[in-house]
Amino acid sequence: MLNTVLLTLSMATPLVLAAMAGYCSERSGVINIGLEGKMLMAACVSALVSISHGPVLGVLAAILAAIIMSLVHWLATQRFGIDHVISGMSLNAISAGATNFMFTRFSDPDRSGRIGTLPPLFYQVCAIAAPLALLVYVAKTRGGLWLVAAGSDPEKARLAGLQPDRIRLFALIATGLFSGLAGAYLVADTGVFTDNMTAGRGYIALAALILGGWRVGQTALACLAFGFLSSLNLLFQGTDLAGVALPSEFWTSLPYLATVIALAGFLGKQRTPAGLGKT
Amino acid sequence: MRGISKQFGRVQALDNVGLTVESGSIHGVVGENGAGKSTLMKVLYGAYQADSGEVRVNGKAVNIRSSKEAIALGIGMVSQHYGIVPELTLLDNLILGAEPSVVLDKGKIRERASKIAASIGLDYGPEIWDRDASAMSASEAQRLEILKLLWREAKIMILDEPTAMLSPKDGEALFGSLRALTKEGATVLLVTHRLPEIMEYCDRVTVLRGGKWIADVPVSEANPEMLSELIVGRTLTASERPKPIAPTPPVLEVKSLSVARDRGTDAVQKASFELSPGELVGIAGVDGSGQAELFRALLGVTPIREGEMLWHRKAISNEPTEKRIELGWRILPEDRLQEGIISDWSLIENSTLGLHRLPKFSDGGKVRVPERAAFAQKAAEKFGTKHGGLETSIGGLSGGNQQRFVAARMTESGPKLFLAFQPSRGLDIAATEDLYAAMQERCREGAAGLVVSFDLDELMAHCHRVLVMFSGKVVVPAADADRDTLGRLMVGGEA
Amino acid sequence: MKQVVLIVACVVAFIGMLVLGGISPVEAAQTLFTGSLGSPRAISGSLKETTPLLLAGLGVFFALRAGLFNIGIEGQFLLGGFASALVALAVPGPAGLLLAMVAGIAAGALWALPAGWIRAYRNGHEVITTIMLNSVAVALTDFLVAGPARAANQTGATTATIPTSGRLPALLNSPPWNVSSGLLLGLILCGVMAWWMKRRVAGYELQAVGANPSAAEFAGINVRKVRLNAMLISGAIGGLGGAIQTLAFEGRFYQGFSPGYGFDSLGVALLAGSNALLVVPMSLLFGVLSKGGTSLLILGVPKGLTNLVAGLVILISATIRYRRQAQDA
Repeated sequence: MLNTVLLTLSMATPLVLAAMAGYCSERSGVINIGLEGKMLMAACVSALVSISHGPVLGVLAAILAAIIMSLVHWLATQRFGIDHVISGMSLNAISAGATNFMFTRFSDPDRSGRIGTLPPLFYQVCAIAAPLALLVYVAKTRGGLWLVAAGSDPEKARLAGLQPDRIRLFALIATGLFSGLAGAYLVADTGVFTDNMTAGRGYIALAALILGGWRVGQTALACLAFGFLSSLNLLFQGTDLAGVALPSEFWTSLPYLATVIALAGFLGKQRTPAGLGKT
Repeated sequence: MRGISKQFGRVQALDNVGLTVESGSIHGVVGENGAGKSTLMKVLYGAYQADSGEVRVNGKAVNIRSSKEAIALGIGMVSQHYGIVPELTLLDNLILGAEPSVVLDKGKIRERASKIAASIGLDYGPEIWDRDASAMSASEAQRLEILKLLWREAKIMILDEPTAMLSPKDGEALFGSLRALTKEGATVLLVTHRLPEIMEYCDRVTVLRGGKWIADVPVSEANPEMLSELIVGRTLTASERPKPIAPTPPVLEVKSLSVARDRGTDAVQKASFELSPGELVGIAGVDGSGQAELFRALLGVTPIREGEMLWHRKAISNEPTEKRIELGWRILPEDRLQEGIISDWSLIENSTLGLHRLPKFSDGGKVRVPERAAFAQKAAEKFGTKHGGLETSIGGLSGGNQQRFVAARMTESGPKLFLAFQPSRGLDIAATEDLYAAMQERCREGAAGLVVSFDLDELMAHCHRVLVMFSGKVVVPAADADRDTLGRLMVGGEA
Repeated sequence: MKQVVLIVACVVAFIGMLVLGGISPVEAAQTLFTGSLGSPRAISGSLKETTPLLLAGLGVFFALRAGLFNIGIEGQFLLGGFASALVALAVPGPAGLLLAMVAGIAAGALWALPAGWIRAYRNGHEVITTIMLNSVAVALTDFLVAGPARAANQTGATTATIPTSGRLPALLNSPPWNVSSGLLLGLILCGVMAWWMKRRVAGYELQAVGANPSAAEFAGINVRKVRLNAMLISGAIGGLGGAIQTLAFEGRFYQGFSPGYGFDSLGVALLAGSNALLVVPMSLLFGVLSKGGTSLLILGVPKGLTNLVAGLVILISATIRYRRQAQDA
């Protein structure tokens, strides 16, 4: 029992952090398919820098790397007017290629053992604090109001004297911060960097965001549910549950299937921010 | 405001216009489309910079460079299409852009908000403030806009066509609260094309025409006839009007057709009219009276809410656009770039856009390439489209040349019914005459035509009959209605 | 012109990454060249890599012309490959071959159906749905090939091997030369598509929807139907690509069947722009890079590099398109 709870929390940590990263960006109106790539880049950089300069700089570098990716995304969408989805997708591709390349080229192939990192507990605390902080921020501050306004209707926000471009810039920096933490956690949790180690977590976080109706609490709950699914998957791998053996692939697919069904409008009214992808 | 001038490119939008508004009054600004009303208001609100002239607020000369500065001076503006963000609550919308502090004390804000609402006679309790703005009706949205101005402590309020989407009753309520506000020292600038509103609620009225100041009169000394004359002006050359044609059985019958809008009143309200073969009928009216929606519904691009359309006495409301095109319906749409052409494509490819399924251009699903090229050639020659080769992309042509080409696509493809929206847009006088001649020619051959224009004289000079659209309603005046009558109808007056 | 800029950018990016990685670009270029074009065997290998990229690229291209970005080509490719393997194993001989191709096409179209329907009738972004469906496709085929469809006598997660009589015959097989007829099928399909886009009314309508959906509506085109059909056909082509991969090259389906063909094909289609015929040289470019990239492994250059290049291409081509639109406006 305790085992399941702990495992669920550890599985949900990167999802919550990545989903909060997605929340900041999508609430401000920038569609973020690129979470996967930002996380992966952060994971790779955190591994490389942790090895060479120690764990603290490792985390900071990971966050910086994810912020830089986010800034490229901001430039692409807000300055060059590139479709949000296409630019996010290409960021993922660039990240997949670059991390593979960087890690094989810049890390010592003879090194073995765990990479020294901050304890996973640090990230887990962050994963609990982040949704709470965002909840308060959005409900109680001017900046939170601006964030939601920019994502809901940038044109009208502009009429009210706001600058959606700038709001999105800050939102994407926050996205970088959270996705950087999410990526670094993966390395802290496993002690290694492996090729494509995010394994779709960025997309699952996006799925949680969609299923959670772009609301902080529900999104975090969806992440917990997905974390629980993966922990069940790990714990009960191969064993029959009440006589029926559901394959692990079924559990892995569940978040994706749920998202497709939600997008088809079968799970009630969609609550997509109206200004998503608009300028 | 004194001697305000503003140029957009080669168009003189405002030419030495002055406007004096007494504090504590409701001041109307009227004029046709393109008269410069909105431009003048946007100069005052800081959205545009005037090229010359000066603005004084409470006697002090000011230089308003942005809306932010205008707001600081106590000037607020409600635009025609409300600035309300749908996903926020009413309270959040109220304070957006004018938050009292970085950390928001919602309890205190709610208290002050309710106080402000009470000042114009609204009983807004806490639960109302937490409602989603998306659930508001048009009149509630309008009220919230007024409250926003009060929250910002605006002393000068600019309202641009505030009643466009309101029912008459809600309109009355709005003016009631405006009247109450002026008693407390607020000043209201009302941009409208509805004369009854001016007559009933305003203290003074300024008339603009073609970017020039025409008149400034106290409403107590004005009457609707005089105002509509000032608005539309007099044309010196009374051109010869085509005679109405002898009535024949109608080819198109539109019966009590309504088209819904996202929010608020219907865009088209129970429109009923008929077209006879051989008839060229104009639809006069100011922009946004529902003409575009009517055309879209006629073509079948937007669904109708109620009513029906008959073509040769057969119901056609449920037929897809494709079928209507097959029957010989053609359109010159409102928004050429969005609805009429594909910019990246060549003139040849664009020449059959919409006609591509007709047997003339399609041989059982195969493009008839030579016929298409020949048609493109013909369409380009008809009104003298200047182009750098039929294979080049149409996006590279000037707006006027695109218009010539798209207009020819309509007139030269054997139309039985054509719907032309502002056909003369971007055309010079000679080309405009050619285009109307071609439309009249089609009508002589038995087609029926419906033309929307904001220029009453253009319609009167070329159409057999002129209908009027005002606020979503189609008015069918007597066939020989004169210019003054039509002008009055356009601004909501009586025939 | 635009294509030239892009190809140059591609090559520069590739070499730039090599230099960053501390590898001599001259040596790398030599290895790349010998590995991909230096011998009949190398050329055959490059053409083999080109074939799935050509087919999947055509699939992406088709949807792109209708204004849809079918990222789901990877999943459609996988299911096509899997379905055709099953059918080819169940029905022997040439009849089975034909049926297997049909099964691949059907499976690909089926996998694209939800994305197409949601885009057309529910206005859900096709990229998000197809990404999700890709992950499901990987999980589904992984499961099936590890369990129900696994060959009895195999240790790995793979189907049994299809006998030669049930496979696509080679177009040219005189070692060291080896060219599959799958490539020919791709070339034919490409020619047909180019003709269809230019000469068929349906092709005209498809591209009208892609270029300006509201104008297409005014032209009497059923935009929703066109979008749904475009997605289905795109998926069908992707499925055919998977089927050909199974029937011409692999002879079976296994876990890890596609090393990212779906992804590289996005780059292929975007590079081809508006001309279907350009899909051929672009897939060739990626095929050569991919085959040459394998030889670069010896120098310590990882395979992820083509991914990187594909991503850059997508970003650059999207920027160029934006610049052009800005000039038009």
